[in-house]
Amino acid sequence: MGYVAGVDVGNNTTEVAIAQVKGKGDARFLSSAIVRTVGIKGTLSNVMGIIEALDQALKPLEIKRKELSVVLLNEATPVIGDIAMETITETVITESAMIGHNPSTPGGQGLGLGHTIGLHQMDSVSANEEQWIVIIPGTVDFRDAAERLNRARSRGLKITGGIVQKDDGVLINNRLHKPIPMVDEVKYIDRVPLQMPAAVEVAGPGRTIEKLSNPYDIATLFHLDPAQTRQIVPIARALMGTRSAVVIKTPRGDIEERRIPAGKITLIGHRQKVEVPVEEGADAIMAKVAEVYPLEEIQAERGTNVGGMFEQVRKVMADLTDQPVSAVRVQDILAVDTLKPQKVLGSLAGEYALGNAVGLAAMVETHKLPMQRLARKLEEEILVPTVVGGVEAEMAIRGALTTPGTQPPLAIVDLGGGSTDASLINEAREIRSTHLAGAGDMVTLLIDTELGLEDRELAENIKRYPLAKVETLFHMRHEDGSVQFFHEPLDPRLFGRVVVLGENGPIPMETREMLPKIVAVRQQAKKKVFVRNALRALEKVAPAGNIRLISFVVLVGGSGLDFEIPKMISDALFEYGVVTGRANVREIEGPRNAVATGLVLAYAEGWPHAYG
Amino acid sequence: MLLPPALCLLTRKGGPMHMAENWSTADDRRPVVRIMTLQVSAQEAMPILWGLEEEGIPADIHEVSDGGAVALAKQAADMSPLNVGIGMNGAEGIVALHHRDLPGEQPLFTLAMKDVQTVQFRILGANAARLVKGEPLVFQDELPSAGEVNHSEDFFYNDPNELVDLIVRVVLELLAKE
Repeated sequence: MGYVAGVDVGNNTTEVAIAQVKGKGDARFLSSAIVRTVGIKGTLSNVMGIIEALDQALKPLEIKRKELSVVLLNEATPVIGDIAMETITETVITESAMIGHNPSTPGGQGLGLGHTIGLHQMDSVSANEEQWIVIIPGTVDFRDAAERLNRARSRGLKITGGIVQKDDGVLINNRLHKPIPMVDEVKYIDRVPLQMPAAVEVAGPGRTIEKLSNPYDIATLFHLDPAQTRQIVPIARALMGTRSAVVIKTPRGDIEERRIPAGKITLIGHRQKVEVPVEEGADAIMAKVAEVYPLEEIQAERGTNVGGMFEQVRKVMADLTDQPVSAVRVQDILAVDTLKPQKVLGSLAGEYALGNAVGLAAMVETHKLPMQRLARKLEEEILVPTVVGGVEAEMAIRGALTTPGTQPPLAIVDLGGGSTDASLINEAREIRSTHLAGAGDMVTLLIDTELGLEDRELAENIKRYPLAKVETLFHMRHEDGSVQFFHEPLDPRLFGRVVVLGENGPIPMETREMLPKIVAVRQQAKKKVFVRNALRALEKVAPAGNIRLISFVVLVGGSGLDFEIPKMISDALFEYGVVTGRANVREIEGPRNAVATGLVLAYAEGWPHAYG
Repeated sequence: MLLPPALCLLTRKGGPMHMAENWSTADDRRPVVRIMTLQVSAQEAMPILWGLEEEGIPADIHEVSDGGAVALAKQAADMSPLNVGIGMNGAEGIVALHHRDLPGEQPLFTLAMKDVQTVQFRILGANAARLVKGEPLVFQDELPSAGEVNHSEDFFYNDPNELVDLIVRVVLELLAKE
């Protein structure tokens, strides 16, 4: 008889299960714990996290560490994934030529066409047939600006539109005898070229501009020839969906949508070797990956983002396993098409244009992580015999099978941070496993990129928690439409904003994106990565590659607790007639603790053991 | 008529300052953000109106004879069909922004009039409007920093006298510490 601890060191969390083993197959579970993994999985710094988890689990039992008869470590799967984003197109404007943005309150309405002129230069211009777009710098008070405009117009000057630096568009317009369309909050107003043909368009409330987002209308306004019209297409595209815009025709107005050489990926299979340029997009890459299967090695062109990422994962894995970098092989990639808002170079108001990008996740797997080394170190620290107790995938299945209502043949899917893992146990209790590139970190990257957040932590929170819109000082509307009232007024900084309902309260988002858009981006990212990878992984372990031949699929690991992933995967697998659900390890742990539990069960089955 | 629509009219204790229609009774239910002032010059209240105007929300000013800024703001918010009110008390030197649903002693924002520049009054007005519209509020610490806006000094110190005042105040404060 003795107390036994099963320890599962994962990429993100370290989990512990404590049990009393009284005889062969007789394990009575007493407690469990979960902490954040310290350091990269498989390294000696993990020991700190393990000790913390052990202490946490032992504390309520009032058992001391040294009373444990054995600590069982998982034979961690040596899988490391990493992610990168490769931009394919970007809009480059070498000379200031357009402003398309959404100031919250533009002035006036309609379309104005004319030559750009500074407010102070108007006095020196005599009235004729020429039409003008007036530039109003932030140094000028709005009352002064309105007065000068009224005066100039009473002299007969034709002023058809305005470009304003401060948030004064409405104030100026309200003081004009006749309103004109005005775009305000134009940060870099001194970059606006003077004496150039320009058009200003402001749409009515709730509408978007019509003319300046259509290449043929721009061609009409500025008398462009077909070649020039082709050139301004990126401008029209970038202006689509905005409420106000300015387009200025500069003599050498050089705007182009550059296709960036994004590098090539070389897929090396058993029989063939295929090259695929990243710029062909995710579908082309994934089609080739499926074609070349089984893959032995993937290489990426040096000097590109993907090449850099490949080198990085190889290096981390090589360091971890004491192997030369050349011996580490990239075995799987997942490519996902995405859109990336990019700051338009040479813009006037800090505008963004959507460029195409491909997100890539890579995964390397080697033979063995140095878990023995970790076991020896842990033993030294806590003075309890420590052994590597079993292969992760097998232990996870054993643990998952404690879920009521399951039996072999059963598959488990573990959607982790760096990789998506699946294992299958058949009636003969044979186990097959697979590890694929792309999981939680990739979803975070996609959310971060598509929403242009440049804030990984916020993206992570958006992935994990539902959203709400704070509608008044006392209530918020959740993304499902339900309303929650509060007795105390909410923080004014949350008012009117989309918030992420994190564990420590609502986190306000800076973005002006609408809530449904953010929800759509989040759900798309999860579908593109998790659902696609769950299906890919199950196909790899299913008998004859046929998912229909699996009766039970159980989700284990932290992502099983996600508020929408289980439903998405369940929906996708329902078509195959598979029973899908979240594990409930030992009827109480939910999707957590499967491996730690499996380790203890395996040990109890082998009782009395040589070790222990 | 040159007067912008959102500015509507300023009223004094006795009656409307400008002619126009006679809409200034106490039980007036026009959809406006109400501003109640005590010993405040029109000059001082103007930037608040501009903030509201740029955001497209109408407002009106009532001059009253009694009350603290916070109480006035609450009273104004209770009377406003838009549920938002502003109280200014020149003697106290305080401006408060209130909402009908907030407890009386707990206004959303208060400003000490002597410590702030025109731009902050305008932000207060803009926030009153945004409170009505349900749009995110503006906080001065979130405004673009000086480096990002050209002529930023001019932006914050529209009025050269204001800048001089500020410098004088800072110098006096420093001297007082000696």
